[in-house]
Amino acid sequence: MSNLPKNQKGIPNIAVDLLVSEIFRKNGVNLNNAKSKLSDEQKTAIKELVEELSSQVDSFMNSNNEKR
Amino acid sequence: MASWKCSDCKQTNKEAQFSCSNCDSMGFLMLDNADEMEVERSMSKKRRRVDDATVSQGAGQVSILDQESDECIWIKDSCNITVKSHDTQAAVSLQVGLQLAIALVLSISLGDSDQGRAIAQEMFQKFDDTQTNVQKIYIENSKDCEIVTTDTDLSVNIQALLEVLVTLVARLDIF
Repeated sequence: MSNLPKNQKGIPNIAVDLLVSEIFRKNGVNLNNAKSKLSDEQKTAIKELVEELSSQVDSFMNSNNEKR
Repeated sequence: MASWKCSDCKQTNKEAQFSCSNCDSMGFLMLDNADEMEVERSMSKKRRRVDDATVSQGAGQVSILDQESDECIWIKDSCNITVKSHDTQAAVSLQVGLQLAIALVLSISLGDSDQGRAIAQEMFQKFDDTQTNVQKIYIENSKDCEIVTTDTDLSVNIQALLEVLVTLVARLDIF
């Protein structure tokens, strides 16, 4: 029972990108430092985690749209 | 001149002092003969001027998401009515999963530091929201109806969290 448009778009990518880089800049994060802390194993694990979560979100959004 | 009482030793101090003259504590308890707001304002100004003052805030105050879904469906004198109410529990657990993943990526890449916690807090703070969804449906004297209710506000929130997570891992060259 929603009055929102059927194909609800999320936040524009550029906004999220700006948000993340601004938070990093504000807190003085050295990205190269952070990158070097990640081992290949951790990278693979995180990659799998993100893929799993995005497929879950996709299927949730799809089931939402189907029901409407 | 307004005065205040130390919260540790109950010593009465003049308003102009910003730490207790007896025990050097900065906590104050009671305000006598004073406009409370005024004294509090001037006290906090003075405290800010102290160089070694620290601001501590628990990093656990992440993502306060207050969600209320009220659904009322009345069906009266009707037959063959189908009601489909979307399960928001799945959405909530998805959201928690996404927040956990963001916190995890930050904690691995930045170490378990105050900096990492501050960043995580800031990222979630963008999603501090209160959502109230009130749906009332009244059906009377009807036949063969199908009612579908969905909580779409939350799915937008989930998409936003996913975007933050994806941007974060892209920044860290994981993809």
